Amino acid sequence: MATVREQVEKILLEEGFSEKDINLEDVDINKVAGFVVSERFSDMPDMDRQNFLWKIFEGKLDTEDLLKIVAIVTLSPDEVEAYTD
Amino acid sequence: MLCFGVATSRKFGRKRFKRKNAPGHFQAARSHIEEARVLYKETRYGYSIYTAGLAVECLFDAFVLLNEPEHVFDEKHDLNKLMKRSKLLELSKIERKKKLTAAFNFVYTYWDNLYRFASDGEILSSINKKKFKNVKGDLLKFVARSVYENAAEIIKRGEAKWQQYESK
Repeated sequence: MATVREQVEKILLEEGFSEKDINLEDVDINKVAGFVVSERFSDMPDMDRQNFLWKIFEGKLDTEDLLKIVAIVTLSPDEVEAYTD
Repeated sequence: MLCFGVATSRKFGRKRFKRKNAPGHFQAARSHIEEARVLYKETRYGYSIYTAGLAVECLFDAFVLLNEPEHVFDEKHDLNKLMKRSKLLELSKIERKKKLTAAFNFVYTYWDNLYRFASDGEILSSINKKKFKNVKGDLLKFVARSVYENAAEIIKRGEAKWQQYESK
């Protein structure tokens, strides 16, 4: 049976996110957290990014699995470049 | 019952949670910023403000502990002191540093650790004392959204910096 991290990763890949831009880790007991980088987040407010992502998850995961997602931080490539020094 | 609880905890030597774990604080920051979004969506604006600020505090704590693993927190939830100690806003890219500093200033101005004890009405009253101008409609909603967006900006910097630390 796939872990919640594997399920989230699969969903993100299906939605067109690139594998190299998905960085997820197992946290606590079978929970997942991490970040995803995408050009589509450029010029989008953070709450809109999160609402966009969670709408996808809510359409594909049941409540029990949704509760296992701690947080997926959303970054644009520009932000990664700017915030890494 | 409260007296019984206190007496029992003393009797059995209950240990309080200690803030010594940088990865734990980092995960808490991630978790709290998401909780702030959910609270906002559910129109719990006052607690959304508190939780977004708490995410920032947890993030600063995480980086303080990375820099000084034996640090004993006596900043009393002062975000400005924690921010300086965390060195998280030290960025070589000037434009981004300005944006990040502005984000921090907003959170610092409109967040208070004591909001965890306050009703939405009390938080709104506190915000009104800061003389917020040019906002039409629901001021608490506006501030909650703004605190969320600014806190999320700081969390993104933390995420990028954390990945650098992890990859070393």
